[in-house]
Amino acid sequence: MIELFIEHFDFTKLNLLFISTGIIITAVALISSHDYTYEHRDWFYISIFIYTISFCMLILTNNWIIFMIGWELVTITTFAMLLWGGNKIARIYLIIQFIGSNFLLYIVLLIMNAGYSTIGPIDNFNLQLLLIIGVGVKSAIIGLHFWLPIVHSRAPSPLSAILSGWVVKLGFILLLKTVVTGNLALFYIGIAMVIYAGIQAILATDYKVMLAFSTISQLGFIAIGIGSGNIYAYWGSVLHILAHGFAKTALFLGSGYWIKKIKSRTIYDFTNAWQKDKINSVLTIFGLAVLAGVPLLAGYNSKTLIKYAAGKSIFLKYLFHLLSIITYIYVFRFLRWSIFNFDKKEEINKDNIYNEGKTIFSITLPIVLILVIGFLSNSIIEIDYTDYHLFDGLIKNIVYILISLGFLKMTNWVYVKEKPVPSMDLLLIRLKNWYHSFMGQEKVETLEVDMENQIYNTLIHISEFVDKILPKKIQSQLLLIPIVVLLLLLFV
Amino acid sequence: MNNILITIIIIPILTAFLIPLIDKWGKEKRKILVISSNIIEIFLFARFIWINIETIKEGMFYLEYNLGGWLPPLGILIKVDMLSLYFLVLTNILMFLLIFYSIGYIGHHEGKYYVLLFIIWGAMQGILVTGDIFNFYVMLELVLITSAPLIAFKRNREGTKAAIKYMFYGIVGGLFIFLAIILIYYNLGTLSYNEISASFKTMPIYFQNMIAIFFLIGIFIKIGIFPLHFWVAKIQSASPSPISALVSGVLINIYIYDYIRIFWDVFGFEVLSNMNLDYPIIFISILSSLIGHVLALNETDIKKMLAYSTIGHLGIIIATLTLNTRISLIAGLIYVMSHSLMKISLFTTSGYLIQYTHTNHLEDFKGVAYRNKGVFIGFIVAAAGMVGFPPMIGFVGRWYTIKAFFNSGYILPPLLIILGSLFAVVYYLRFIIKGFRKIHLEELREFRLILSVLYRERLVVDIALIFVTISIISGLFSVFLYNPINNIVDIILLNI
Repeated sequence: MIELFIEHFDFTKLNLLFISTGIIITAVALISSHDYTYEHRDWFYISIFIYTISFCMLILTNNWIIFMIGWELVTITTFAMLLWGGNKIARIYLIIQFIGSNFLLYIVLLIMNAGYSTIGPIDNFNLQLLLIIGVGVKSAIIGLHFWLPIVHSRAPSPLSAILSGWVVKLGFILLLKTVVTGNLALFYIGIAMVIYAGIQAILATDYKVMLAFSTISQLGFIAIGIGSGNIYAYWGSVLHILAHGFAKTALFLGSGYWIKKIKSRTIYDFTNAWQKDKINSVLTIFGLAVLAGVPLLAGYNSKTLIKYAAGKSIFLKYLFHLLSIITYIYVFRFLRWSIFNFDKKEEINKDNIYNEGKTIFSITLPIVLILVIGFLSNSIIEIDYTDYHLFDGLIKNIVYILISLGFLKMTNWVYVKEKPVPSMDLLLIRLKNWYHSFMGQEKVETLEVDMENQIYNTLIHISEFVDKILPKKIQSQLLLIPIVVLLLLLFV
Repeated sequence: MNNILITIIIIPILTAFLIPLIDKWGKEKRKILVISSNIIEIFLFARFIWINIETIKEGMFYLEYNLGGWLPPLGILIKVDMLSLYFLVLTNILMFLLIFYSIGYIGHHEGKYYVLLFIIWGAMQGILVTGDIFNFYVMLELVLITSAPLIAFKRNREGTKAAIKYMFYGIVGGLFIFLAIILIYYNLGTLSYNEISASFKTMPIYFQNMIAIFFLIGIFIKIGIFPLHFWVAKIQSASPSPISALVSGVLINIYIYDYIRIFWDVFGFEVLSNMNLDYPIIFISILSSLIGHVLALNETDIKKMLAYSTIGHLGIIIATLTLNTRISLIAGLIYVMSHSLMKISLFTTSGYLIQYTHTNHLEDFKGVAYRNKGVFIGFIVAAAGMVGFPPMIGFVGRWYTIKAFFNSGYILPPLLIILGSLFAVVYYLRFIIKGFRKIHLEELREFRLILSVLYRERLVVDIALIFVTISIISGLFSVFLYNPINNIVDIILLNI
């Protein structure tokens, strides 16, 4: 039994690093979830416990079947935890993830059939691409990311932290083990993800939606690192998984407390945030700084390593500068409208300020760990020589900041009209209008029935149709038997 | 020593005949008889396994026994190998629990019910242990004749109609099998499995084809593959829950056993592959599976929904078996087990839940979750297992099935299987959400009026939860299932 255990699980340094990161993120979210789960707390703890075991199983194993079991268990347990945030969002999440995990099951078996019996490097480009699409639904590869802003922004904050901080990374951890030599498609997908989601984050008016899009954008960096096949970029991705995991956890947990304090999610309502909660402000700034890649923090180290992916191509080098600037733009835009938005007219209610120990602890711990990772980056990375070009990076970042501030100044800090929180219905309306514009029909403003019912009704119509064409009378049903016999006899 | 094998077939049938006699003496005693013979039966079966445990472990278990010392042309030959044993274990464990479930569900005041149930049990074991094709046919008809009254057991119009339809289909299916048997006897002059398999290839090729097709049609009607599936849904909604569980979970296994036994062991698989029939069978079964899942979505009657889902899963099983490779046979056998465990769990849990509703309809399912949370969670777990979520054995079955298809070079059927399970998620989720919907107090009072139908509530709940537990445990320890099933497949493939 123990031999079986050792045979199917790899306790490498990297795997242990990943599971400890995951466990810390889960623990921090668990502490914070105390303010969100008032009913059936025991069931919540059971599901979070199974979730922890299953992602450990998923990361440690080198066996595809154990991996798939862990993957599906993660789906079920995150679904179960999402039930505390509302029925509807959990249902949507379950069905989308079920489709995704089944597709992954299909592809995993295809890969196994091609001769890769254990999880390890895959040489075939097409199989790599299929695997990337397979993990795409859970890990929000562009095109399959449509559910992420909806679910992550509507879920309770601790769950957003778990989903955004860790669950989306699981697919990339698999890709780290399989796509070792790089995959150009993944590389370009990564670039597209950074640009597209970055722009969406710049245009977002809801704090959690902005964070959700920023998740997709940062996942793009990880994808670039894995896809390039460059050894430095590869380890940059590893570092970015850790750094972004902690940073996003802190930001999402912080967002929960912001929303409780300000009673609004729109970033324009975050006036005088600095006076309202100084600790949370400092921690939020730290988290955003990690995303932006400010020198001396872990985010800087990982992004510097990922930029080795450019190689000698000058075009790619400039493109990577642009990618960094995009992150800076949405960070500064948010800071301008929230923490540094001093409105003297508003009266600040001092009584409202509460700072419970667990609040501070749950947001502070990830930030402290990011600082630790920033200083210990070299001991995590298993390459002999790493140079972060600190002085060079400092100047570059100052240039990035100046460019992004200039851009924001020119565009009036990208003031966009307040948008509704994304939902499946809005997505369907957009899809319908897009279709109608092709067909030359009028645009629709609202749906007659909501998204879920629409899909459901379509399925029911299909099944009703199938039911209708089948014979109802017993005479005609029995008549089918000789027909089938004759057909078979004639076939032979 | 192997006489135990005879006793385990005789005891159920003997019990069935003793029940009316005991009724004359005193109806109170019947309860004791039913429970004691149930326990004796399972005890003897356990002892039979225990005696032969060494050979079973090695996978070499084989037993032939001439009843009364008469040799095959005249006497009855009993033949048990690993394949029969696998189904015997499955059938006996499930029937043992189902009889206790019936005691809680129907009550022990219905003497005829137990007579019929024990005859079915005996006949099913008869099919599994018999060594000649005529006894097989007799037992098959016995199963049909005894299960039809059980389906009509509610004694209402709907039940009677369903039972008559079941009889129609069953007799037609049996007729095809009978025709095939006549053709075999006409050509070979023997009815024993061993002799048929030795000389089947000497028959003219058109006779071989005709026999194979007649058998195929007979078994497909009994299983309910797509163009011949019409009886399946109707009988489920009309019959009481233990009988639905019996038909959908246990009887179906017997027909699948027949399919494997006849086409691999007796005829040899070349009969199908020479006719190029294996490809159409796979096509029809996969189509049947998809149609089953689609029709299940249309049903608002929970038992009809479960019946259509049975069609959906059986299509997959037949298609997987027909691929005729080692991995596909393993997949098929695991899937049979997973399907029957999950389906019985679903029928028993939902059978308890719908006792609190007026009908089996979806609208009436509202709020049943608050009746008994344990049972409802059991229902959810079984549904998740049926769809193919991991800790349960359904996932293992699906994994091997898709693997088997890839191994044989099929790319599209696995996608259709996955599509089917997507439909399954939607139709189970619909009932689960309805079950959690809260109901108002006035409605609640109305529900309470029809509470007294269950005879022993505690027993029903316990047995339903035991079924769910078995399906979870078998999933968790499914690693240990691989080797025994591999041994069985060895024996099936040796006969080719």
